[in-house]
Amino acid sequence: MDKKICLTLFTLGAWLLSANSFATESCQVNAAKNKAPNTKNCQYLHQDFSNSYLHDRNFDGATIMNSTFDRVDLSHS
Amino acid sequence: MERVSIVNSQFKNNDIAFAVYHDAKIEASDLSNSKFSNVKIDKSIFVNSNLSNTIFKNIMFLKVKIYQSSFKNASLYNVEFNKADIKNVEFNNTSMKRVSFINSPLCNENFSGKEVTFNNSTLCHVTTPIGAIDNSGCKQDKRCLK
Repeated sequence: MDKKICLTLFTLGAWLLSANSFATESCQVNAAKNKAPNTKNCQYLHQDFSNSYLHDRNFDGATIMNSTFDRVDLSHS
Repeated sequence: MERVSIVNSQFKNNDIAFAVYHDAKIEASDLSNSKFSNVKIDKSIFVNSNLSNTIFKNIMFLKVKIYQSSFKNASLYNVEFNKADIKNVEFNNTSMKRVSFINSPLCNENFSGKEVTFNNSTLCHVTTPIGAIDNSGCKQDKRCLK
């Protein structure tokens, strides 16, 4: 029974970590040119995107709140 | 490479300055309560999106399509829509100062802001308050109905 509880807690913890996708490397928006990282369904809260290279970023399903974009270029290259 | 795409997204309470949006797609997204200043948006499309309570200052919308979206309670200062295509957009209680629509057809909008100028823009089912400058020559005119 204890093993089952531990497994459940571990699974829940892993799910919570993955839900906070900004914590994962895959949700970082800054990347070298010609290497568009995955920004879909990511959460960005209180982030500073200033001076970022954001060409061709796909923010579908993302949550971006209370963040700053100063001198950014969100163009299609 | 894909175009910048913001679909079914929350993009609220953000501060965007000196940005360039080119060929971007914003669809079914909430961009409300944000501040846009010194931003150029060209060849982009806004569909079914919420831009209410948002501040736009020194903005150029060039060849932008805006459909079924809302600028309700937004504040527009020194904003130019040039060769934009605007249909079914809410401008209710939108504060406007130095706002101009140039070569931009509009359809089904109600404007309350007075400091708005229409130049060479076809207005279809559009109402503007007394004081708005209409150089389109076809405000509320059957010639504009399509």
